[in-house]
Amino acid sequence: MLRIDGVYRPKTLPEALDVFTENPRLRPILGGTDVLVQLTDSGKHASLLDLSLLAELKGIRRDGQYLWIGSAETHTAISESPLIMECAPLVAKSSSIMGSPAIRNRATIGGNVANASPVAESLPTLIAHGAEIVLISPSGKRTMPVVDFHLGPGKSAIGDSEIITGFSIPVVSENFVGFYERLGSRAAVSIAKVGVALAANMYGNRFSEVRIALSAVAPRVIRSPKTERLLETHPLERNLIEEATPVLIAECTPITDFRSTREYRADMVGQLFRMGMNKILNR
Amino acid sequence: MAVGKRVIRVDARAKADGSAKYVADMSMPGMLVGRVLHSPVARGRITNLDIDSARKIAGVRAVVTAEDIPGGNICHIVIDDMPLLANGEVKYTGEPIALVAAESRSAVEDALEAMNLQIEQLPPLTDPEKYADPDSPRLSGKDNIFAHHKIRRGKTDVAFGKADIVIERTYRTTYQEHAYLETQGMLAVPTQEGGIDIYGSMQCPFYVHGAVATVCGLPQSKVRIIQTTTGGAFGGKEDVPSLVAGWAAVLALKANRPVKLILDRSEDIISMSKRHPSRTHIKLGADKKGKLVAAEVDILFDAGAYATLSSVVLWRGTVHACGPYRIPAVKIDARAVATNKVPCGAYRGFGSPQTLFAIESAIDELAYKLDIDPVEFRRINILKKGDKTVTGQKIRSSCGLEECLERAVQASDFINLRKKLHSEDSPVKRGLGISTIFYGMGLGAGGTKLARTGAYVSIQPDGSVQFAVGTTEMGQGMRTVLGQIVAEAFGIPFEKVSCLPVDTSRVPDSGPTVASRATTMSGRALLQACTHLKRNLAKVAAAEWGTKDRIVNIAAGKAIRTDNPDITIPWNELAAIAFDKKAELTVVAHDSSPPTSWNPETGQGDAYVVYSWCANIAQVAVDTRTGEVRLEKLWAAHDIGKAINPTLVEGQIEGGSVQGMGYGLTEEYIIDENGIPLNPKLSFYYIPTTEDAPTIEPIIVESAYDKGPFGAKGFGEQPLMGIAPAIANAIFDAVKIRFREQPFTPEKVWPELKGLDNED
Repeated sequence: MLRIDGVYRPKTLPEALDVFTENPRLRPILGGTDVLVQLTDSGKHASLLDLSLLAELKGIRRDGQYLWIGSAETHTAISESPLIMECAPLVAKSSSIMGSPAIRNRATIGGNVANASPVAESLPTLIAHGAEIVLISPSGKRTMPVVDFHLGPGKSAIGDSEIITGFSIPVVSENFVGFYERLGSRAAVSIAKVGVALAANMYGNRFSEVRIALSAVAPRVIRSPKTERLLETHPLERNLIEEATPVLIAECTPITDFRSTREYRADMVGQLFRMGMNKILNR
Repeated sequence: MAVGKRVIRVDARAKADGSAKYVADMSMPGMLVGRVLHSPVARGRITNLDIDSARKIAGVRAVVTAEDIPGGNICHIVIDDMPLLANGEVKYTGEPIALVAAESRSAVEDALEAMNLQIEQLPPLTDPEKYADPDSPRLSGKDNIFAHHKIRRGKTDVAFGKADIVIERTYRTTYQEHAYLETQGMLAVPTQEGGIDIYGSMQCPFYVHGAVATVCGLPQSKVRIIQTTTGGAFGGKEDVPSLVAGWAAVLALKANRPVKLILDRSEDIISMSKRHPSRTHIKLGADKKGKLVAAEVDILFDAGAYATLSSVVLWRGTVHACGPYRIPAVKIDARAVATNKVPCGAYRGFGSPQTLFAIESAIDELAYKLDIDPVEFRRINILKKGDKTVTGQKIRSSCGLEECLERAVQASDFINLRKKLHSEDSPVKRGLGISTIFYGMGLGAGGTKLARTGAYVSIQPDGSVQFAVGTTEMGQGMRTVLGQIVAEAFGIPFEKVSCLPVDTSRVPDSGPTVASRATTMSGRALLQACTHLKRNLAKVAAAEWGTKDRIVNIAAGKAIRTDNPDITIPWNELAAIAFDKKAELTVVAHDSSPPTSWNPETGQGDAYVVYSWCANIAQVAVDTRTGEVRLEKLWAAHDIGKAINPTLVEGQIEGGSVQGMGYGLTEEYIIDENGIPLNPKLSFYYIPTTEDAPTIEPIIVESAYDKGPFGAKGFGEQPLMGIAPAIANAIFDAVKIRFREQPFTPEKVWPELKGLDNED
């Protein structure tokens, strides 16, 4: 059962940081679609720090060559934002398929990343887009690549009394190509079994600045440097896709659990990669 | 008139706008929260249970263990082997051990923790196929067998000798979880007279009535059961609500306060009944022309830790195990065996989806082996009027299977569509699969004692009509359909008729609301009551006119003189006069279902009063890259005798088909070898969403049942039953790979597809 002992509802970010510093055991919460489920399952007592009133965590805007998405923006807002569709299209896509309409209306991108699940929908696309996460604590602001933030199942680089304010994402160039392909267990409301995101620039038939992020095939969402290098150093043609697929599969370490098998997940990384790459090839 | 009309469901608005009151919405002064302590392990001896510490927690008002149950510690279902609370030993993960009622949920949780339950674990039996192993523990009787049913017809050994082709195959099915929207829940209220009232979510109030009286040690006259709005059941609220009501009742008596006890979703999934997993071995033979000559079927059901309904579930599975086919020589042996897992029970189809999956797959396999088109093979072998089933029952009337088959074939343009699908050049392969099935309507010879219904009908002085039945609304639309039957019987507008909530004190024992029997059996009882009332009204009209009763006809909402139809008394006036004349305007009718027969040694007899029939044609797409299977289209033809409300019939077809698709494709509840469930959450047990639902074309066939109300025979379960095999057969049509274990998940399909052309 849910045992909430108290809820703090600060109205400004400085107030929130004060409260959090005084009570470092508070559990930060935005939409609550992960936090409330986890607390209900564990039955443990908890006090919450509700961040949903903070205007500082809201906002979707473009600052020059960077797109800013506030951590409290919901997946519905993200998936419906023309600006995000233009500047970071994969992030819009991953938010559009996450959960159900009801979940997307409450769940936020900051919460999705903070939850640090290897199957998180927003992590592979943020990582493929080269996003940085911005964190704030009483000792100041810091920034790091999202790929370094995620450390393992439920584990992240978040510090004590630290709050995620948002994500800074390089705006895609006119040469952008990319895809986010994922498999679930049914057509909707399903957690990813395997996800493959790729973002790159393409000049003629040459890739540059390739970033591939894989979800659900390792303890954390991972990049695949060998495949990225291979794509950057060869012209795109059917052979390259076939050559790169086993390299990509070799870069992940999926497991067998009740949701799927190691073999299936590994092969699907390859299949999803092929499907996405063929779309680029045939564009 | 009302029958055959697309009347809007009487409960539609309240359920859509949220105003419908479920047990969770109910509240009573002084009401306590009740909770259950469940076993975390599959088998063991309870070595510690600290009741005193639990009682000392602030706010705790009652703690109950097996020793504190005022009546018998038994949950009566078919045989009395299941306790209300475990006594010393536990036999499955989720088994109830103790109960707590307290002022708050958090006090209850603290008390459950304070009990510090300790169990000395024993090795569990989790593989049903090892029920007879000498190393396996004995969980029930000498042999771990709860039930063994047989069918013996002709001499199969001789008949197989005459077959040109014989196949032998083994098919397996796994659990299915009901996933009703509303979890199990009851509110028990002690009465001033020392009795108890129960409000709650249930299918079978009369089961609950008996069970609560037993555990409370009360005379049945002091127990009253009222069904609250029930948020789905699908068989999952047939037997287990007796447990839940029993728990709430003993807590309420002990605390002498109302107690509301509602299960959490995971708790509900872990501890409540499921569809039985099964293993069916079939030997099936035919001659060169495609005529079936013999079948031998060996069936094993994994019943779980207690017998519950397994014997009757297995019986239906046995009677349906050879499908709707003419087979002269048949030998069937079916066993339900004990394991240290959750007791399985009723689920839409009641044992038949398991065996129908096996036979419908085997029929398809044999057809391909004979190089006969699967549709043609069915045309040769399906039951037609005058044929006998494998139990020797002659199908005398109401046999619309052939029409179902032909209409589904026609609607799908089967031959041309199949050619077109096969000619597509794509990594996504498409195919068509068929299943033809039947459903023995009502309880049949497996439940003759329960085969009765009651009905209460009361004409009010203003001409409106109240009625009540003992079968329940659980989302199937029964209240609406029965209202249409009453309105039609009197010839009055549907709006004049109101259905009262089910209350065991108003209507005589009507048996359970199962076996797709409510429309037909409660409909029969209502018609009896209406006929009685019409006689009374005829007397009133005759007295008004100074004529004889027999020249008065009550029809079309008025009294009519048959010798001069121009002379009438309109309905409202007739009701007012009848009231003034003190005529009997409230009656309670009893109906006993038509007879059946059964010889348990030979399995021969008239197993059911009538059968409903169905043909499904499924179009699937198999993605050869990912192993994902999608049911794209479904043509589902059902012979239901008479569609009292075609919209509700179509709704049943659509809902049941999607539930059957879940059974075929995605739903997989996993209990590991230690008896621990791995995915008791709806986020990891995948029921289909609307996004997964195929395009469904419901086809209604009406081959009237002469003993049913206006020709109707029940069919609510049938839409689910034939979907999984139709999908398996369609997958075979698409990729020539046979899947003999549902569900057909990508993880199972993909390894078989390797070696096919996987290129874009």
